[in-house]
Amino acid sequence: MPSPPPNLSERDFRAALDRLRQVVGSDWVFDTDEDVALYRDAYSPLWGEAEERQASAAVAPTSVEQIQDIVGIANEYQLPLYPISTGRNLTYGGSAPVYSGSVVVDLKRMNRILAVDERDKTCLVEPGVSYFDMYRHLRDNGIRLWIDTADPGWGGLVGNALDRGGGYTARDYRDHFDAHCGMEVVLGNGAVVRTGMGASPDAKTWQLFKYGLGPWVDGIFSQSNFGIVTKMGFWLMEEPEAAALVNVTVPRRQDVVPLLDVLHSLMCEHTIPSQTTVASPVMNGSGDPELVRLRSMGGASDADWNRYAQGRPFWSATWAFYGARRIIDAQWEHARDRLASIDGVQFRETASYTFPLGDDEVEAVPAKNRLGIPSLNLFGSRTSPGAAPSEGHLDFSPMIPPRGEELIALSDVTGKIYADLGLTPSPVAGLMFHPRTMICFHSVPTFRNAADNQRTRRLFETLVRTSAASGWPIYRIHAHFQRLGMELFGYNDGALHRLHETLKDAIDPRGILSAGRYEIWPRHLREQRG
Amino acid sequence: MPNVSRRRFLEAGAILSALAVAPRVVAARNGLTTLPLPEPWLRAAISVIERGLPDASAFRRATAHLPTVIETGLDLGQAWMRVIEPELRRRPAAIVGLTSAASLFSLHLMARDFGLELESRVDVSPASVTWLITPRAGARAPLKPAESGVWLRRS
Repeated sequence: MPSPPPNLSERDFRAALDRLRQVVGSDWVFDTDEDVALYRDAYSPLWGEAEERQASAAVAPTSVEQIQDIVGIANEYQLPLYPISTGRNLTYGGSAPVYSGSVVVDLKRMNRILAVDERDKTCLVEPGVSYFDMYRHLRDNGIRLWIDTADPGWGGLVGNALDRGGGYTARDYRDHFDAHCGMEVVLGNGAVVRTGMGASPDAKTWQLFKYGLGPWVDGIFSQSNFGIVTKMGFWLMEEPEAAALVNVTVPRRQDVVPLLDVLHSLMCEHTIPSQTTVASPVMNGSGDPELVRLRSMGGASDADWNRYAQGRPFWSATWAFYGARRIIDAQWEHARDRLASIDGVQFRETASYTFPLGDDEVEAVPAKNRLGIPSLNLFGSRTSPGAAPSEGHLDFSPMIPPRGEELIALSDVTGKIYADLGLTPSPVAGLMFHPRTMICFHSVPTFRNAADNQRTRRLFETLVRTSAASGWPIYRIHAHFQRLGMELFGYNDGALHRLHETLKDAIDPRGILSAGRYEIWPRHLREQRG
Repeated sequence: MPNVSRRRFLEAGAILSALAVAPRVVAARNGLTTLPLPEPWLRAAISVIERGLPDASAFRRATAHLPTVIETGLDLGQAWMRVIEPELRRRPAAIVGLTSAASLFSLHLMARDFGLELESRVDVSPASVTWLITPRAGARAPLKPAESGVWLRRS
């Protein structure tokens, strides 16, 4: 049997679980070691160590009313709860609670697609709806709307949006929090709130107009612990007539400067609609000692790198166009014209599609996420035969301005950090999920042994601290490192963090929800933690 | 791609044999007694084969008798969404496969929400692994079909 939450006696814990069983039924309260193991963080950087974050139990409700009852019981016993939607954000902590001993509120059974409006191009879903569920619903019902899916696509719309995840399609949809419109939330005190136009009971525009009347509060429910989101609206993308995937390469290392300047401009003028990935096929190779040496130098010259490249394209940019074919052709022609000034630039249309696609065509699409199709391709493609085994990874996710100098500098800085710790540098790629920044995802491996994980934690912390000091703070961070993350957002002696905890005290006065998430602690634990 | 040694492949074959005895293995491991009922999840077993892996053809032949046989590429997403998940929502089913280790990782994690657990795994080559995932006796899991588990009781 898992241990009860800290500060709760075994007797009170068992009494609270009995009360939860009365609410959801005994089949849906999990409190054996085997059942609770489901909620371990499969990629934990603390796997098997005493500090590994563990749940004490889990409860799986099916309705808002049940959630209100659960919150009421938790308030009565001061039982710490940790709600998850599908719990699949493995590189950021998965379904394991930040505060060990919390009871996971597993919302996977709340998986109803409450509404899809074809005319308005919107949907309203519960938190357990996965990208697979939503895609299947649209396709099976012949609804020609697209979702924008996270990668991999096994997560859910609500959880990914609340964690501020991103996707690959057009600008209005791929920033998943930005693409939401209206939510329903059970607050820490048990009250049910609808945001935006949803607060007006007869409004026909809950999923159409975000702001409603008065302060817009949706933002405080993302990366936070003020409530349990039970419904969320999203804007869906109209299926285009066609799509084209394109690739541009430039030959020299320094070409990334004009390349990114033009790409950013093309995104700002809405010529490029999709997420754009910029990576170096040269720098992202593996196993070559000379490549490792150059990456480890933390500042090898352009001349050194260009010599190493031996004429191979140094940078590659990939994106998609969507719309009527004649419009795609015009956009692509305009983009080529703008980029033609880079000596040696090469253009390729790598794939084109006319919609709707048949099932076999869907199966054959290699870059499914660019067409709003959820996939697990990330798993299949990331492991090469004979690769050194690791169990998972953390995502180090610094945000940089979309400038070539910054991408090169980040690559140099991270390469040096790895080398200083005696490790082989990982590749860095820039992804333009958001219109005016690049996220440079970078995987740091995790293991199932403490010695390797200790090294991983040291590396990860150094990466996060150094990048913040260089002007590239992260946009999201694994649960174990959220204290570090907030420390690096500490302007004016942590004024933002103090504001977060002031809100916590007001909205969740007994501090029962997701204690410690993004370093927001309830008062009683804050005082204990000093 | 290196060929699989005969010994490793025979070990993998043991997984297929385990399909026949798995209920008793699971039951013994969990201190359970099988009721005199045909094992419903065994009858509903799903075979997942990643095309292009060494011995995919042999595995396909070996599992051809199962009610559902799926061939996939590197991306298990469509197979999960179209076949495996709807099947698991409907009724308990064992899943047996020949895939990459990474695909097994993702499939295993998703199947656990339905009360399934990895029963056996044999790494047959650097690129491939055969495995058997079965309903865990007495498991509680958020997406487990309500009627599952009724054929086992604690001894």
